[in-house]
Amino acid sequence: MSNILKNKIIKQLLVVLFFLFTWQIISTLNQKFNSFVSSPTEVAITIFDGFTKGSLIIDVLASLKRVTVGFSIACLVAIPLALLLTYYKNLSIYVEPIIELLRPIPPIAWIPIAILFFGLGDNSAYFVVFIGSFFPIFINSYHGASSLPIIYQNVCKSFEIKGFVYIQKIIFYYSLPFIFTGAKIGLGMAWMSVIAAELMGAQEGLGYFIQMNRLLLRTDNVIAGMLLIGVIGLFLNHLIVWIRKLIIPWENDST
Amino acid sequence: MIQLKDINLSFSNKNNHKEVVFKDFNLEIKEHLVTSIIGSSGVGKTTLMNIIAGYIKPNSGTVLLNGKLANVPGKNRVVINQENDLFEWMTVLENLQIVSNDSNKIKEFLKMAKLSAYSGDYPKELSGGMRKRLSIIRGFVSDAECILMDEPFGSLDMVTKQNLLEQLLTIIKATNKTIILITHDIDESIYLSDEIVILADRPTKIVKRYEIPTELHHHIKTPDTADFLELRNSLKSAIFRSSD
Repeated sequence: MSNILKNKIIKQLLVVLFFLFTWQIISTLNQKFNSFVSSPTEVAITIFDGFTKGSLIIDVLASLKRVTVGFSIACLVAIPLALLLTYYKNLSIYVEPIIELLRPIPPIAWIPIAILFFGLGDNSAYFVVFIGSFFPIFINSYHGASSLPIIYQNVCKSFEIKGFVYIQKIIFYYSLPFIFTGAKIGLGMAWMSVIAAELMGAQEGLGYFIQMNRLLLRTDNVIAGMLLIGVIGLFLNHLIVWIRKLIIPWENDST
Repeated sequence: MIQLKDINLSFSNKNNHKEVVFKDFNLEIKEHLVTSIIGSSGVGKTTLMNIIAGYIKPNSGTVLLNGKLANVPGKNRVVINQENDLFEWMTVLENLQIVSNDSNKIKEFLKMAKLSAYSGDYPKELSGGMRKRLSIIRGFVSDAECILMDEPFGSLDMVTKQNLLEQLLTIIKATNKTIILITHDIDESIYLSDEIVILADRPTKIVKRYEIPTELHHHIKTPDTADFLELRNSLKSAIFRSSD
């Protein structure tokens, strides 16, 4: 099993290396291309310098902080709300239309309103990140919780498992795999939203870093910022998969 | 004692045609005994169990448990299902703890079902027979006066089933609960039951009731005595006649 995994990682690394190599070759051979797209080595040096001499680490941490806060609030609101609405089905009739109405609005569209209400600081970014990640987490959790099989519902009726114990020990645990699927999508959305929010109104963060360097015509920095966004997004994704395996031991194969 | 009084149940099928499932159906099930309900498929056995459990509300009629009205599902009578009904996200021990606070009793039942060594495992890690045993003791470990078993051995192989029957009998004898066993297996019902009720369908009615003579009780390993064969044949023909 671990051999298969090792093989897979090696293959994936090879693809990345091939991509970087091709990019480097084109940049070296084609000066015109290189004049507006920096080569991988240049970008690597930029990232290294950014971390050692510049303020890149501050931008990365600023973005991560916004994602963490906004995403956590989204989880804390979306998951209990989904569980409660499953338990109190009468309530869901009132909440569902509101959610269905707000859901199609992209997080970016909320940015002007967010800035208006919360100013240019962190709070508006938290809000946009919250909006971006709330819906995938809520929709998946709600879907999971309401798909509790009849047989479990009947067992709970028979043994009189109800109230908080039912919500926590039955609905919540049953829904956990769905919640994690939502969280995975939600975290991706959170990361996208924070960059969008920072592109429009922020004093620091990776989105701000890209925006500033775009104005300064520093393509190497812009690409460095983009690459960092990709790498951190990938890392966050793996983090969720890892936590899922840790928290859901009864589910052997997770996706 | 469980009493079903004047149960009526009908539903409309696809063509809006009214189908009568139960018409003035009456049944009494004695306390502390094992009563099997046998009949061919589609005879209404599972519907009957769902009515007793309170999952299905009849159009009219009452279900009484020891004289008290039992029209909603409750702890006094629990169901052991044919399909998997274990909480997959709970360990063996947690599956029992959610229905009983009595840790000594849980320990005792784990021992009886030979599951003590697996109390920290998830149901997914157990074999089919072990899962069934867990599902069964979950019913017995609760304080339910009555246990309803809906073809509990349906999906098991012969050897597993045979072992399980013996263990189930030990548990039944140790707990003295009222048990209703829904099945289509004649040998299984003779082995476990004190009484057998044979049903016929549309509307569901009782064809015959058999009291199992004590000398035939629990003797599945020697099912070749003349008495046993006679009883088995008699049950068989009653079931056949009912499905004509």
